[in-house]
Amino acid sequence: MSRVRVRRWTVGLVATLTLLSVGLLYASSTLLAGAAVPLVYVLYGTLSGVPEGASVRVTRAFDRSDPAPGEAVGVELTVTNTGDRALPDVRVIDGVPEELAVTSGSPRVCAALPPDGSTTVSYEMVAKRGEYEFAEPAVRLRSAAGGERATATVAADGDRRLVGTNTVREPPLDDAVLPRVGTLPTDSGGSGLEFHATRAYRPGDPMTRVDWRHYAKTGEFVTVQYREEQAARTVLVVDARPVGRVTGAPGYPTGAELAAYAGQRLYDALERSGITPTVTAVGLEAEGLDGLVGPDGLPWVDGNGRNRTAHAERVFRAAQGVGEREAGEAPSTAVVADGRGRPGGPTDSTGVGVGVGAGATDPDEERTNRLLARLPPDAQVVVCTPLVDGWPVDFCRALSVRGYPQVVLSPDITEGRTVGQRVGSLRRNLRLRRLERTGATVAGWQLGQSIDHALRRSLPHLLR
Amino acid sequence: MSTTPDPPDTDVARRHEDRTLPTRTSVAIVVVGTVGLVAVLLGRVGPALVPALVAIAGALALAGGFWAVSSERFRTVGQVAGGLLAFPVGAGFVIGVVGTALVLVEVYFPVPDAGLIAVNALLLVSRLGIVVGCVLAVLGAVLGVRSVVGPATLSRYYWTVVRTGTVPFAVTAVAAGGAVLSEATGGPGPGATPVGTVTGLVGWLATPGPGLHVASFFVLVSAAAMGVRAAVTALPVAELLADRGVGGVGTRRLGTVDRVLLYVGVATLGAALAGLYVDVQFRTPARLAIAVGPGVADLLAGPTGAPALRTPLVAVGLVAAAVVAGTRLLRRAVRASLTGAARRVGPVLVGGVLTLAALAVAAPAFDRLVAEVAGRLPSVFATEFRQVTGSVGEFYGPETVVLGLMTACLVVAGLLVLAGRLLLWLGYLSSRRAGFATASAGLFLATVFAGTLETPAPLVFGGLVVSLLVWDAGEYGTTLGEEVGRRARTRSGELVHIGGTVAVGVVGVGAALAVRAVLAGRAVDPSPAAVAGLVAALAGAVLLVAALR
Repeated sequence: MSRVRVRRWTVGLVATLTLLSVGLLYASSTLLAGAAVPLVYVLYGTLSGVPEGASVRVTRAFDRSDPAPGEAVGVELTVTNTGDRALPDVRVIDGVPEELAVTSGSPRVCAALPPDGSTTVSYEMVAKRGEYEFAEPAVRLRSAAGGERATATVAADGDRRLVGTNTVREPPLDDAVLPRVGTLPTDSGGSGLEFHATRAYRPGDPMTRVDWRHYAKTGEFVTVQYREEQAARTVLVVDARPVGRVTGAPGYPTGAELAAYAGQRLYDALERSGITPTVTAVGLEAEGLDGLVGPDGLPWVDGNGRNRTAHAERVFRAAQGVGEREAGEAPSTAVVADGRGRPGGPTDSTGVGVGVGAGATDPDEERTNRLLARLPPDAQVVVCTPLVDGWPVDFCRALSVRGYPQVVLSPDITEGRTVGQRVGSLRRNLRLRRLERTGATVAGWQLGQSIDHALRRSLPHLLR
Repeated sequence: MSTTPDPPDTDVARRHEDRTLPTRTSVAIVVVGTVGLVAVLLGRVGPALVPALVAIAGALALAGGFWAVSSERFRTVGQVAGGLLAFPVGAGFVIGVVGTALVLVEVYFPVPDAGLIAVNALLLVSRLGIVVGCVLAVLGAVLGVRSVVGPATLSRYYWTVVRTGTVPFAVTAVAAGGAVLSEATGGPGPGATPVGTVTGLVGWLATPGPGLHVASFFVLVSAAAMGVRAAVTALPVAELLADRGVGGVGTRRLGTVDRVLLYVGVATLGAALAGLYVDVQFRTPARLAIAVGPGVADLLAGPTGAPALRTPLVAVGLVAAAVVAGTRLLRRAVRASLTGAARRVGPVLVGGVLTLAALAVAAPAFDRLVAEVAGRLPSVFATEFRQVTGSVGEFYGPETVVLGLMTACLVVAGLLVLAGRLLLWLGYLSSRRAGFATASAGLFLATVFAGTLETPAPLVFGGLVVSLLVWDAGEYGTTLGEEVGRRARTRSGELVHIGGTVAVGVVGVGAALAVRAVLAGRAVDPSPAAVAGLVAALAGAVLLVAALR
C-alpha cells in the first residue's frame, strides 16, 4: 500500500498569516485570536493520518452465471474493514472489464467504515459473448483530514470471471429438422414432378411428355411441362457497412455485429440442413481478409469451395469485430438516431478507393453493382442487415428486377426512447414495408426475442 | 436478450459529466455555507447593502455568462446569451464597487476632526472589503457547482464580450471623434451622425483648407501605397497571369511592384513623422517661408496641401480598402459555415441591440445618473461634479456619454474575464477547483474585514470556520467527483469528513475564544517593547509555518 502525504491544509497557514497581519494592522485582538482557528486546522491536517495496519476485504458476487449476450448482470461488491481502527474514507473502484458497459448503478463507492463494518455497492452491466476477467479493485484510503492517502489494489474474493454463453455453435433445437431441403421450386416449366402447364408440341420434345389423351380427343400434339426444380444456391450477404456500426445504447451490440451474428446462425442452420450457402459481406473492404477478397473488393466464400466453413467463420468474425471495434472507438456516435439515406463520412471513408473504378460513383451503388456481378443466376439471396439506411432496400429492388428471390433478416437496434431513435425506428419500419413491396421475405428480429424465432420465420420460406 | 437499454442513464455525455462534477452533498454544503455566511455578513455593511446586492447580481450574471458559453450543445444561443449578460456583468461590478464606495463616502465623510480621516478610511475599506468578499464568494460558489471555469470557457467568454463590445465601442469612438472634429473645425455641433463624421473626415483629408498639412499628406501617400499593395496581394493577379501563360515574368514583376510599394509606404510613413514636426513647429506656410525661404516652403506646402493631388490619393486608398475588404469577405463567405458565422455574429448583433437601447434611453439615463451620483457626494464635490458632467454632456452629447459608460462596463466585464484567465495561467487557481477556492477566499476576506468592525467575536470565528469548511468541502467533493464520480454512493464518507472538519472547527473556535479572553484581560500600553514583542510573535509564527512545511 503506497502512502502519499497531501499538503492539503497549507491554506490554513496562509489564513493564519493573513489574520495575524490584518490583526496587527487594525490592532484587533479578535483577528489575532482568530488566527488560532486556521492554525488548529493545520495541526489537524498534520496529525491525522491513515491508521497503521489498515486493511479491507472486497468480495464480488454476480447475480447469475452464464448470462446470454445483451442480458443484464447484477454485481454486488462488498467492502469490509478488517482492521481494528475505523477508516473515515474508503474509496473502492471495481475493475470492470473495458468491454462490458455498466448500465445502472456505479462500480465505485466512497464510505466511512468502522472496524468490521462493511458497505455493499450493486450495479448492473450488459453481458457479452465470451469470457471477461475482472481486474482487482483499486482501494484508496484517506485520513479524516484528507492529509494522507494510501492506495492499493486488493484481490477480490468471490466471482472474478464473467462467462457469456450462447455460443454460435450451439444448435437451436427447434430448428434441428427443417421440413424439406435441397431443392427450390421455380416458376419455370420443364422437367420435374409437379404439373406446371401445357404448351404446343415442338419438334424434339420427348415422347413421354406428349399428352396423348389430348391428342386422342383433339388430334393436336400438346406437351406437358412440369415445375422445374433447381438446386438451391443460397448467398448470404452480411451488411457490415460503417453506417450500421451503431448501437441503441452503450455496451449493447452494434447493428453490424448483430447482422453478422444472425448471418452466422443462419449459416449454421442451413449447413445442418444440407445446404452450404455462399457467404459474402459488404463493408469489410478494409479488413484485409487475405485470400477471400476478390479483385472487386468483396470477400466471397463459395458454398462449394474448400475450407468453406472456416472461411465463412472468418468473414463473420471480421464483420463482428469491425462492428464491436467501431462502437468502442467512438462511443459518442453510439446512439442510433439517424436512419437517413446515407450518412456521408464513415461510409465513404472505407468504401472509396478499394474497388474497381471507384472514381466518382456512389460507394453504395458500387457495392450493389459488384454484388450483382458476382451473384450466380440461380441464387437466392439472404441479406442480414440492421436496415439503418436505404441501401438494402435499393439492393433488394435491384435483385427483384433481376428475378432473384430474396430474404431479409434484420435485427432491430432502434428500440431506444430518444426522439432520434424513434424517428430511426419509424424509418426502419418504412423500409421494411418497402422491402415487402419489392417481393422480399422479411423477418425482423426484435432484440427482446430469441433469434431462433426470427430464423424460424425466415427459413421455412426459404427452404420450403 | 430480455432487457431494454436505459438511454437516459447511459448517455455517454452524461457519464463524462458525471466524472467532472463535484459530488452533490459537498456542493450542497458549500452552497448552504456560502449563502448563510454571505447573508450574515451583508447584515454588517449597513447602507451599502443595495449596491452590494447589485454587485452580487452582476456576479450571478457573470456565472450565467460562463454557463451559457460553456454549453456545447447550444453554442450559438449560448454566445448570444453570454453577450447579453456581458453588460449586466460590467454594470453590476461597476455599480457594486463604485456605488458602495460612494454610499460609504456619504456616511463617513465629511469628518468633524482631521484625525478621524484615517480611521474612517479604514472603516470604509473594511466595508468595501466585505462587499467584495461576498461578491467573490457568491460568484465562486455558483461557478463551482458546475465547475465550468476553465481556460477554454474563459477564452470563449472573453471573445464573446469583445464581440459584444465592438459595435458600442465603434459607435462611441465615431461619435466622440465627430464631436472633437467638429469642435476643431468649427463644423456642426454635437450629435453629428456617424456618416456625417466619416464624410467630414474624408472631405478634410481631400481638401484640408489653409495651413500646413505635410504630415497628413505623407500619411495619405503611405496609406494609398500600402492599400494598393494589400489589394494586389488579395486579388488573384498572379493566378490570372499564370493562366495567360506569362506566369514567370508576371510573378517577378508583381514581386517588384510589391517591394516598391512596401518601400514607398514605409519611407513616406517616416516622412510623415518629419512632416508632423514641420506642421507643429510652423503651423502656416508663411512662417515656414520665413524659416526656410519661400522657394523650399512653396515646394513643401504647395503640393502637400493641393486638393488636386490629395483627392486621387484618398480615392485610391478608399478603392484599395474596398477591394481588400471585398475579397476578404468573399473568401470568408466561401469558407465559413452558417453556424460558425451565426456564432460569431450573434454577440455583435447583441452589441448593436444594446447600442440602440442605450441611444433610446440616453438622455433620461444621463440625467438620472448625474443626479444619483451627485446626491451621494458631499456638497463641495457634488457642485463640482455637476459642473464637470454638465460640460462633458454638452460637448459630447448625453448619447455619447451613456454609450461610453456602457462600453466601459463591457470593458470591465472583459477585464474581469481576463483577470480570471490570468489567475488560471499563473497557477493561482486550478481550473477544476477555481470556483470553490474563490468562494472560500471571498468568505475569508469578508470575515476578516468584518472582524475589523465591531463584529461579535464568536461570529468572526464562526465565519472563519465556515470559510475554511467551504474550501474543505469543495476540494473534497471535487476530488471525490473525479475519483469516484457523482453517481456512486458517497454520502456517508462525505458526512464523516465534513463532521470531522466541523468538530475541529469547534475546537478552533474554543481555542480562539480562550486566546481572546487572555488578550482582553491584559491591557498593553503601546510601548516600544510591546511592539517589538508583537513583531517577534509574528516572526515566530512565520518560522512555525516554515518549520511545519
